Amino acid sequence: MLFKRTLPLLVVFVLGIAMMIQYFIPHPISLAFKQRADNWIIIIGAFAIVLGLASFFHVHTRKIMRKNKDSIFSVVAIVSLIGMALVGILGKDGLDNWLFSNLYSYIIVPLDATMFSLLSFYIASAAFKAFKARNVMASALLVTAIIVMLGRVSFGSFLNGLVEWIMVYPNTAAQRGILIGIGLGMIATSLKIILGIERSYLGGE
Amino acid sequence: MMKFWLFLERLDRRWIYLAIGLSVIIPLIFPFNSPTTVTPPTVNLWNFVDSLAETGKPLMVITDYTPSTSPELDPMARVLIRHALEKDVPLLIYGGLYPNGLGMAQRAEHYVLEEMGYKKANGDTLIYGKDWVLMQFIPGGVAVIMGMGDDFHATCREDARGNSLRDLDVTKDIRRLGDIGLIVDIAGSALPRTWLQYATTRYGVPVGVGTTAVSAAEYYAFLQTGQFVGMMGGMKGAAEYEQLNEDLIEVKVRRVASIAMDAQNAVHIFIIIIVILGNISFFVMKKNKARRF
Repeated sequence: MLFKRTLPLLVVFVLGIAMMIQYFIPHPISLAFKQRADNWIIIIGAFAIVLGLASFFHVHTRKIMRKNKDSIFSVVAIVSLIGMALVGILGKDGLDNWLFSNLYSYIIVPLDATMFSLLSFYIASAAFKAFKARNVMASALLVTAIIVMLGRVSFGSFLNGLVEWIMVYPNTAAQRGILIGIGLGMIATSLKIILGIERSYLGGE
Repeated sequence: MMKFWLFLERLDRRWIYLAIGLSVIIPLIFPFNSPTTVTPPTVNLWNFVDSLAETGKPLMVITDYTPSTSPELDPMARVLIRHALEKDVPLLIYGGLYPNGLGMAQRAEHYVLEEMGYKKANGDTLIYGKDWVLMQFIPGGVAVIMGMGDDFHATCREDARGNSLRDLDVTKDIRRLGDIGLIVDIAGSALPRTWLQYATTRYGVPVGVGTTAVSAAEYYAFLQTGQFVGMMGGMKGAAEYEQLNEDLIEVKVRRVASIAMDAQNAVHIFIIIIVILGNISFFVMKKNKARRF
């Protein structure tokens, strides 16, 4: 209980309050404390990569052991990860290694970009099927979207002024409301974590 | 006529996929050189980068994105790097807070240097460490920004090629983040806001942004208050910056973003047309159904 709950809660409470207070004290001791804390975060961040790798291997080796029809994808994932890492670690010229750069530029980049670009097909199809002026609000959204889309193309440069107005005023007003909401939510959640009310990060609660 | 609307109502989505594919491919093969009109957010960013040549302060270009958004964001990184190198602005190219960004930074660096033939406008050779530096990835997220803010060299000891940053001309005089003239974060996520929150608010470094068209709407709130010095929004923003580079510092190269804008123009027009047709069909069918009952 002490190590699983009480100690983590105490560490979060003490460090949370300390980091909050130090922000308002520009004294060398306070700054040195913050700098040390920043270094600790960077070191812990590096351990997160190790955790991620452990989780990756755990998930995929389990899939391979089960021998279901999709386990070949797990094999590809593991081989790719190990292969890429070995090329990076063992290859000459470090970052400028020919094979490493080409694997990145001609395999990872096109694969990732292709996956994302598929979105445009779905968006176009969804816009055609579902973007209908069913009521006043939907009509307002439809008209605004068409103006902004038209203003973003070369032929619609005559709409630039109107598009800028839409982005700077109605859009900014809505965005500010959302941002203020997010900000307040973050403060509330941070306080709940520091005070030990929100404990889901400890796991299982 | 009724048959046409019925056909539209029941149109198989694969025809739309095909039309979208053709709308992208045809303008890329046969570009129609659509004109580019520059907008204030891009002009402000360009002017700020240009002014660094007088102050001698370095520019940090951050490629905080993954390959998924690279077609839209790569041209932004390239035009900024080109602008800085053309104007002799000391340049730090940084992959940002996630590991994938380093690959994007390296690609942009390589592209521009090949394009320039490793030569400046006056014919001098561009020298790594003297004209530009490629920074390495450091895990830790926000803590990295704060670490750089307090003590740059304690957080960033080496570049991506293993050289000590204390020994390179571009970085040897940077003691903390505040010594950097401008940070431009290029990202398709909320990361520019993180740089704004810490680099600008806490350490007083001006920040500009390059982002996807989808994310641009989010940043107008910060542009209006002057927190961001400028912005390139989507492919159009990159095309505008290319236009400014060509008009004002005579960078005559293949304008990738401007060519891609032709494809974007065609797709936007196509989507607008199908949305309008879809709505007409919706109302016609609705009216027809009401008549029947």
